[in-house]
Amino acid sequence: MTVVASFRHYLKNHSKKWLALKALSYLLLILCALVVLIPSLWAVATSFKFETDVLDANVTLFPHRVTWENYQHILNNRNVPILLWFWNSLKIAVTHVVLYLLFTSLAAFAFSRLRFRGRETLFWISMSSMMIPSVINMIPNYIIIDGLGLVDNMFAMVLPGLGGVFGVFMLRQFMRGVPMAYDEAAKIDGASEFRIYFDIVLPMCVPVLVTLAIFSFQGSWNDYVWPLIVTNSAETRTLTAGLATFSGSYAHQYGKQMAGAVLSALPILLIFILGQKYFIKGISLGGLKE
Amino acid sequence: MPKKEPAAAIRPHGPKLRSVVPYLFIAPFMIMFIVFGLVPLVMSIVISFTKWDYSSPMEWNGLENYKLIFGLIGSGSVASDFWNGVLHTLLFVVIETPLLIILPMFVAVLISKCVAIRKLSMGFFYFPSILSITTVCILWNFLLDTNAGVINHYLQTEIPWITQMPYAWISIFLLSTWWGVGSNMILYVAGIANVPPDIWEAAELDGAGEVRKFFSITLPCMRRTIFYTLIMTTIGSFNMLGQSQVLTAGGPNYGTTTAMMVIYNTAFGGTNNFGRACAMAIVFGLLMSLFTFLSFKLQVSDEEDM
Repeated sequence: MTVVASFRHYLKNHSKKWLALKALSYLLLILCALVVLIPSLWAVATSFKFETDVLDANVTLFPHRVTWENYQHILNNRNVPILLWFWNSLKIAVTHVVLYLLFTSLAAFAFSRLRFRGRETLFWISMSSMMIPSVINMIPNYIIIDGLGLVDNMFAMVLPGLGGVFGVFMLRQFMRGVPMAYDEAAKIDGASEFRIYFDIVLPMCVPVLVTLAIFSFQGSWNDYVWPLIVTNSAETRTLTAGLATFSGSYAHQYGKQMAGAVLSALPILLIFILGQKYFIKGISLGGLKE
Repeated sequence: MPKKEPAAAIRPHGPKLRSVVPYLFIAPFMIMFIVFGLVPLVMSIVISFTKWDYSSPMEWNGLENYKLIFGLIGSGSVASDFWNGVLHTLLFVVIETPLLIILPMFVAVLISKCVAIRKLSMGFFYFPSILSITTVCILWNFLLDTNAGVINHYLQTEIPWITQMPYAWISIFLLSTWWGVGSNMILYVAGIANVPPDIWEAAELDGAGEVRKFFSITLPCMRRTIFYTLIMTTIGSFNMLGQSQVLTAGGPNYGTTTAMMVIYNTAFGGTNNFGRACAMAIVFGLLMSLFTFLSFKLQVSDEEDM
């Protein structure tokens, strides 16, 4: 009964107008969320339908008869190795993120805390390249990757993004806020520059590192055109690139198309749910950095 | 600013090693930046003045590629294809960017009002953004199907959403908005949460209404966030390719072909016309930079007004 009592108390303490506004907000938000959710619901429901039922004129969201056939078909089709593509995407994205964080944080550490000749010049040369759209580098990058013999190799999709300067910029900004007194104390204790970087400064940068990890992971995961350019065989493609011709090979077989869509979304959904806390926090931080 | 260094005697490394260490720190990044950032830029400029199909030797042809692109020589079909694509990209940028600024803001304000379901609804709205563009296109290709599609079923219509104008563009906008609302929304929710609470209290004491509070407090306090999303969304929209290639295949009748698609097809779609494609990329890239630069200018002058 305490719930009812506290609810009564809640009602009494606020004006009618305030309550109406609150109710309206909730209603609108739930409505919007449903609109966003419905397409995915249809995809899941359709993936369990028989193809004849999908094309039925009296289509309903929930299937009359449930079947695993679409999933079995997709998973057994060697021309669309969705699981292999997923593995490729994950391997490439994780390798890219780890190297990206390592390279950019090392550079940011030197740019913000070490003194050396040409520091400012090198920093501003790399920063000014942020204004250059990536499309200009697309074709030469292919020539370079081909020249290195990396076509159809996962490193063709890992390496080019590592020259991105955004991470260096963000990390340098953050590291400048960490007092130099830490470094000096560690130096007196005989710590090397690398130890100061790894044991003192890097742990303090974890929030920014998480943000950068999310951004670079998503960038790598969702990259559509670059993997298409640097891969010739289906086995080396990423999920995003591999699925590009998927609809065409299952024209009007929507049960199978949706099974493919669900399969391609499941793993990343799992990662998202497990790391939702860090995801949302990390992304929020990204927008606040100046 | 770095402080004064302590006396050399207590440093672990000798003076010689010390001078190399900083360069070791920046080396991995700098090598990557030079190989995949600076060298390609120079290469792109050089290649744009040549005729080159990648297999036969490069031939210098001066400004010919640029003249072709601007329709000064040739039949003008290269120019019309390219500018057709640029026009479509601009159309996409001009319509999609405001959608992806205003709608997420609307959702973010709602979410901030509904504290009880804040986290849950953020997850719901963000979910489409974690999907890859091809998955999204496969999904919407089904929803928008003329006969079997859910949308025509709900609307009781038989609209050819993907194969007819203007529906093809409406479909692309619908899909892109569904896909993109979440990521900007999260930034806005965080921005609203960061408005100092005493400002709200002061406004409430003054009897300011919800609309008034939004325009006089929320928006001004979130200018940096909005500016950031504006730049990022604009750049993202300029690079649009997946939607046009997977959902509409550039059609109907090249009606949804974007600049990125024209450049991609020129370089990798059968005839490897690298010279012409590089020139197109440079012209398009400059256009993009101009847009971004103007937004920067706008922001700076806006800040000076305050």
